[in-house]
Amino acid sequence: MSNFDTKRFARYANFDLTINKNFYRNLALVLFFTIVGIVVFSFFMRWLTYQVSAPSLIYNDLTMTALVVMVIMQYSLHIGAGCTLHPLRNKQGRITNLTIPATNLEKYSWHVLICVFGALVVGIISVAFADLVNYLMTIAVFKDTEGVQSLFANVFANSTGAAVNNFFQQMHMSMNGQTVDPTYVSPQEAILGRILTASLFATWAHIFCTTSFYAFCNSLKYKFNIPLTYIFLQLVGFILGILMLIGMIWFTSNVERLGIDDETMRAFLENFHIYLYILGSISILAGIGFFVWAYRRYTKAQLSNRWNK
Amino acid sequence: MLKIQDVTFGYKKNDPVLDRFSLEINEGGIYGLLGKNGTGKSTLLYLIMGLLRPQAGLVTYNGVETITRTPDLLNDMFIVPEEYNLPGISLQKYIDAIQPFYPRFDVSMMYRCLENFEMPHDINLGALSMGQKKKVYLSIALAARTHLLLMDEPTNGLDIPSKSQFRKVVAGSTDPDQIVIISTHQVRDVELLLDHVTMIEKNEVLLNTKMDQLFKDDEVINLEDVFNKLLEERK
Repeated sequence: MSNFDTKRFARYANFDLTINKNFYRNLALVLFFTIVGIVVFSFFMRWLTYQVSAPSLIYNDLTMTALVVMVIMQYSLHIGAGCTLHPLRNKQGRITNLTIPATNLEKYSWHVLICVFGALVVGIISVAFADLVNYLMTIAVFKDTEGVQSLFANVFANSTGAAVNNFFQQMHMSMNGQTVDPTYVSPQEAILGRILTASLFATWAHIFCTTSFYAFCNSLKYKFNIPLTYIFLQLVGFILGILMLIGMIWFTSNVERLGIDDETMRAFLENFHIYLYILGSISILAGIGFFVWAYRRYTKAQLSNRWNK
Repeated sequence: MLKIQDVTFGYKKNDPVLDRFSLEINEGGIYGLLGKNGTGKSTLLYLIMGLLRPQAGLVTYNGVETITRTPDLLNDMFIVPEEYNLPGISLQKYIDAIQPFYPRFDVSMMYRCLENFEMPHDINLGALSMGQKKKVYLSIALAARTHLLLMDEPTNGLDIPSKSQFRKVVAGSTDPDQIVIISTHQVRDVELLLDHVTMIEKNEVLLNTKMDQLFKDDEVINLEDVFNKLLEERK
């Protein structure tokens, strides 16, 4: 018997959407109105600034708003992943979910699709809608049709290599008052560029890893898993931060004893992007591992266990 | 067909609800699984359904371990739990979603069962009382026509007229080749319905016999007396 049958998968998707329709709808609406709300709020903040400051201020700058929206989208991915096994939250839900005739793979992959990718799709649609709202409000209030920025473009730019190019363009502008040859890149800038690009990759990999960690924690505990995972990750982050700080203090006070000279430091910086790529790759592997582990735990799910009575 | 072999299971360590419990059911009929509260009747049903993993032993249905929960296994089994929450949607929508999973699902049988329970067809599942939900879910379970049907305390939450309706509906909607296991401590609600009775008490099968064999004996008045007598003897 096949472990994955598309007809059965579609049948299960239809069943799940029928019985959990309200849950998915509410989740999508919360995300949608949060993103649109942030954009409307930021618009009024910019409008207020415009009222009290010189009109020359860039009233349509959406850089900060885009960053906030990106954080919200990251949280929505985490919440979505933390809801992958939402149907198992109570005993009756477990009976329904575990006894419906579909394979574990079909059921689990559907829940990842609807909760994680669903959150991403709703986030993108919300950003597009928020863009439209922002565009209409800017035209109506500032009578500006040409200078309207796109939130979508900002979010996209901040999450791709375009962010690195923007960074250098801004740097050149601030140094010279105007853009000098934008194609010129100094050796130091080349190193910085590589590090920034690698950082972007590592950030995406980290988001993927934490998202899958939320899904894994949901396979351990079906209720209150999202706040518990959040607290756990914050604690881990805090401990790692302290350890890094201690490490850096120790390193700076032992630079001479360790025999680290400028040449070693330069070589380290030149190769720093490689370490970031390695870190990012480990995060991606860990992310895949957490999803696989979560799936394996789902295949062994029972009506009652130590953490889920 | 259904084989429970030396099964041990407990919710806590060193406190098994079932300890090396064995039972075999090879022919169709309505089986009563009777026992006092906390003897492991519901646990046994969950083990049969593959909802719990035995700490030792095997539960197989048609030779396949039920804990594997494969679609082929699950589309031939159905459980009616003691308590059940139905989503706040129309019955028709719910049927449209669940029906494709069960190859022998008979919609007309479901409506017949609902009529016997004096329930309308056009209902919103979210607006039903516990007893009404039970009637609807029992109708769906019977209409699924799976060869193995498990019912956990099906008469709990039903009023007195509904209990007799339940007996009528179950008797009129099951095939001879179906294994229907009814777990209950309310013996009187189901005794007229049963073909076979299994009484359990603390890991022990006190009685496992056909009803017609049991009632050959003139001394026997009803199942409750049999059960009490067996408990007395055990003491």
